[in-house]
Parts: sequence; structure tokens; C-alpha cells
Amino acid sequence: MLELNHIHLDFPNHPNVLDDITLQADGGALIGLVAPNGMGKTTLLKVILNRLHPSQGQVKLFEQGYTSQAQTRKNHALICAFPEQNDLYGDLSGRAHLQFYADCWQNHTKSVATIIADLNMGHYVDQPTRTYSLGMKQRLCFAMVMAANPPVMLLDEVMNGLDPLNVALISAQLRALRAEGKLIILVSHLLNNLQTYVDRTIFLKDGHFVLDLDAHATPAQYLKFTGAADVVPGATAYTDQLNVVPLAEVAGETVGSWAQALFAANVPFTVGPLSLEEQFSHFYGQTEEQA
Amino acid sequence: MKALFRLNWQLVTHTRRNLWVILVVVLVAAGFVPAAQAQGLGDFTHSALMTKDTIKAAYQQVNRYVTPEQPQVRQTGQVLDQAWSAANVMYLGGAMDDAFNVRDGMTRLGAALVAGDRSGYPGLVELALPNRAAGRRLQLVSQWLIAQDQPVQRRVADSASALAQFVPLAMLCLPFLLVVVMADGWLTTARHASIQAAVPVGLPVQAAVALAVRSGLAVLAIAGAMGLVIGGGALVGGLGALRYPFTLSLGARLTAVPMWVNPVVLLTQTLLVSSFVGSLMLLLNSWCHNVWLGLVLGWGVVSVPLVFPAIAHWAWLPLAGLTPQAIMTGAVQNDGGNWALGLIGADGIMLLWSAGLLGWFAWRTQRLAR
Repeated sequence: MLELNHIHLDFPNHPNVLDDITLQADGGALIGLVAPNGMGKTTLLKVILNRLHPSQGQVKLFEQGYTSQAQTRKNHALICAFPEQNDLYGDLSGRAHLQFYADCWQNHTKSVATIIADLNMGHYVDQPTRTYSLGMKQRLCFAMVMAANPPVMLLDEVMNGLDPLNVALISAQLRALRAEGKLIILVSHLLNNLQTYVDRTIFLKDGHFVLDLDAHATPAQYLKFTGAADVVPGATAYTDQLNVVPLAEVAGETVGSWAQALFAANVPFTVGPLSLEEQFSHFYGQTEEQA
Repeated sequence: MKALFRLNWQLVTHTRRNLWVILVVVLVAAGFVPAAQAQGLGDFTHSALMTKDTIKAAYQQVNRYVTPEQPQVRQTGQVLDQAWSAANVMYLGGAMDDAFNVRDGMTRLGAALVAGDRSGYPGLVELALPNRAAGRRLQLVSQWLIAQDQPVQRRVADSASALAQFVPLAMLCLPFLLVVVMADGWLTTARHASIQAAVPVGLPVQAAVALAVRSGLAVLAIAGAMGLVIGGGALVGGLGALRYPFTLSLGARLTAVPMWVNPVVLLTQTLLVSSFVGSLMLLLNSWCHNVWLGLVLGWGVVSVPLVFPAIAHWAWLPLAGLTPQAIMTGAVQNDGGNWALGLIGADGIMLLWSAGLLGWFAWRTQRLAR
């Protein structure tokens, strides 16, 4: 469905913004794209949309690259990006925005009325968008992508400005869209939330994919604790505050003895897989945010 | 495509600036007939008196002290004498409601003005006289009226006479109105990039739709205004003489056509001028993202032929087409000494410029998109 083949992109005075990015993804998948600000996530989405042109490599949608203007329009009919809420037309209603996207992408299968009901927008959708709160605008932007109903959806910071109830609401809709066979690439900083529904999480750093986690694979177990690493033999500092020991080849009795030692030393510990937040801190702990 | 049309239509009809413009147009059109009657707009007797007095002043200047000795100046005196005499007949005919004398005076005055303009009025220092185009218009209208045995329109008293006064005014204001309507042609895309850029429609089509919708709004506003003026005139005195003549310079010469052609010409001019103003505003939008600054710049451009009429006489500039009322009456051709430039020529040049501006705009937007 979506192929990125050895994408390379430079900006003036900023080489290797994207460096040899390769990705293959099919429908019915939710892919989380994770990185601190300024690492190239939005740039990558723009490359997928052909709004930025890589110096090397190719983007293909349903095996078709952006080879001509006509093909670009065909590809754009298969993909929709999450609009920025500042770009909404203040004098138009939310319903007008939804109808515009539904008509542009010729969505005849999912009605605007259903989307409005699913996202609890009925009480405000006919008001001009200049009267909306940030959360209402954010829901509208997500609803616009739903109204377009393309096979590929690019959602950049979709959860920004949403309260926990609406985060749960959008999360449920994302699962439903995946069940319909959509390919959704999601950029989000809410890693705990992301972890609950993504099929795959990709970490982007220095223009590369540094980690590609399959959420359906059995995760490796770790003993995780804070404080001095030398309390447990073989423990390494995973982040500034977290030490880990992989437990894949460690006998249960040994794990028990380590746990006793930690307990005796009054050191809090847990056993389990590494969370996205812990891995994020591991990869980007030393990275200064650029944006 | 249909979705883009609908979105643009919603945008232009929800923009407060456009709503104000429409309100002003409606108020002006609705109040036009009563205002024209109160102000004596189109009062034939008054304008005949003004013409007569102007000619009289010129005549007195040439024959100030004694009969001129130079043959050329003497000839000017004779022409002005004929013109003054004809203007007197026309004025008195109007005052006495004598249709025959009015038409006779118009015919003679027209001939005298054409002859005088051809000679250049030697000996006359200040020229404020009606020019050759005005003389030719008088001849054409009087010939038509005589052939049809119609009386002259003496004041705004019905739909036809109201239209005759409204259309030139509308043509004068047209480019300014179009600048306001077209002011955000590309800003609605440029300022809302993440919404429009993802749409599976190319930028040229988006620009064409923005231009077409705004032109459509302008045409509707002008058509609605004319409807109100016609309705207002009809309420006062019925439809009137829809075959009353007005003069028009399509090509190299003036011709008389019936009054019902007037609205068609105005609507056609609205479309043609909007193509130029729309292209200009698209290009200005690609540089300047401030709608008000763009509006001032646009008004600056369309003001040039009014503030500096001599510049509009340069045939290869698109400016003459921005004063369609002056082209229609032959004023621009007369003043510029270029009778090849009729409405068709001026509009053709304007369309060529529109195509050039659109090409420039397309090149800029494609370059910015990269």
C-alpha cells in the first residue's frame, strides 16, 4: 500500500534531514512515528504527500510513484493528511469543512452525519469555526480526515489539545478505522496512549529509523529499577534514571534473588517489557530539542 | 471540482468584506432612481444648457473684441457660431418639449462639433468643448431618434432612462468593486495551506475555481444591481423605451445600438475586467499575504487610467480596458488619437495581459510549492 524506498532529503545548510528511510506498510495498520520535535517527522509526512521532493529514493502508493502531475492527483486521492487547526476557515462551519473533504475525496460510503455523531460534534458543528475551542477544532480536523475516508491517513499530533475523554474517543475511532483496513501513520507525543493501539512504533533519529517495534511480537522482559546499577549484576543504565537487566536467559530463581536484594535495599523495581516512554528516554535522553 | 466551487462560494459569501460590498451595491442600486431624480441626473435640459454655455464661452473667447482677421480663426468662430446656434435650438427644444427641434439641434450640433474638432479650433486658447466622439454620438443618437420617430430622454423617468444613467456609473466603479471581491483570491488557499494543499486537485485548477467563483459573484452583484435599478425605474414610470439608442464603440467606429444591449455589455465587461483584475490580484496575493495591502495595491493599479489618463492611451497596456465607459463613448480613442482601439481591442489586450499574469502566477506558485 505505502512504500518508501531509500528516501534521502537535504535542506539548505541542513544535510541528511532524512537519510535512507525505507518503509513498507499495508492496510489495516496503525503505525506510530515517534521522535522529539525537529527530528523530521513532519518532514517525512510531507515527503509522503509529495509536498517535499527527496533528492534520492521514491514514495509509492499502491505501487505508483509521483511520476507526473496526473499521477500525483491520483495518489493524493488515496491519501489525506491531518489539517492544522490554525488553517480552518473561521467564517465557515465545521459541517462545511467536513462536506468539503467528503466531496473532494469523493467519499460516498461514510456519511458526514455519522462522523459528526461518532465524534460528538453535533452541538457545535454548525457554528463558525472561529467560535471553537482548541479541542473542538482538533476534533474537527480529525473528523475531516475521516470525512475524506481515503485508504491512507497521515495524522500529525492528532491528540494535541484534547482532554482524556476525547483522547479516548479518538483512540476508539482510530481502532475502528484500522478495522476498516486503513493504513494510519500517526505522529504523537502521548506515548502511553500510543502504546495501547499501535501495531508498530518507529523511532526516528538523525534522519534514520533507529527502532521499529512490532507491537504484536512477544516483548522481551526486563528487570527495571532506579538508583545504582551495581546492585544487580549485569544491569546497565538504560536512561538517566533507569537501570535494566534483560531477563530472556535468566533463571527465575536468579530473578527472585535480585528482587530480594532490591527489596532489601529499598529500591523500587518492576519486571516487564520496556514501555515506549522508557525507550523514548533511552534514544532521545541526550538529544536537545530543536523546535 | 464541484467541492472546490462550493467551498469558494461559501467563502466569498461569508466574507464580511464581500457582504459589505454587496450591501453597498444593493443600497446604491435601490436608491439610484430616487437619488437620480432628486439630483437631476440625466436632465436633458440642464445638460443642454451646460453645453450651450460652454460653446458660448468659447465663441466669445474667439470673437472677443472684433471679428477675427485670420481666416483659420475666423473659421473657428464660424464653427462655434453654428454649434452655439444648434445648442440653442436643442436647449430650447428641450425646454419647450419640442421633439423635432431637439433632434434637429442635436444633429446640427453633432456635425458642428465633429467639424470643429477636426479643425482643432485654431485661435481658441482653452478647450473645454465636447470632443469629436461626443459630436459623433449626438449625430448617431439623433439619426436613430429621427428614424424611429422617438423623443429624446429628458430625465430619469423609467427603467430605460435609469439604466442609461446607471450603466456608465457602474462601469466606472466596476474595477474598484472587482478589486475588493478578488482581493483574497489566492489568500484563501495560501493562508489555509494544510487544508487546501492536501486536496487532490492541482493548484492551477484551485486558482481557476477561485477566480471563476469571484467573477460569478461580481456578475451576480452587478446583475442584481441592474435588476434593482430596472425595478426602481419601472415603479416610477414603467419600462420605458427599451429600444432607445445608446452609442458603443466595439471596433474602430461608434455605432448606435438599442438600450437593451446596455446590460449585456455591462455584464460582459464585468466578466472580462474580472479576468484581468482577478489575475492581477492572484499575482499580488502570491507576494503580499495581507488582504488590505493587496486591496490598496489593486486599487492603485485600477486608478491609473483615471488619475493619469494619458498612460491609458498606450495601446499595449491593459489600462484602457479598465475604463470601459470611456472606451464605449470613444473618449479614450479620441483623446489618445487611436481609433483602432475599440471595446474589442481594449478587451483583447486586457485578456492577453490576464493570460500573462496567470502564467506568471502559476510559475511563482509552482516554484514556491517546491
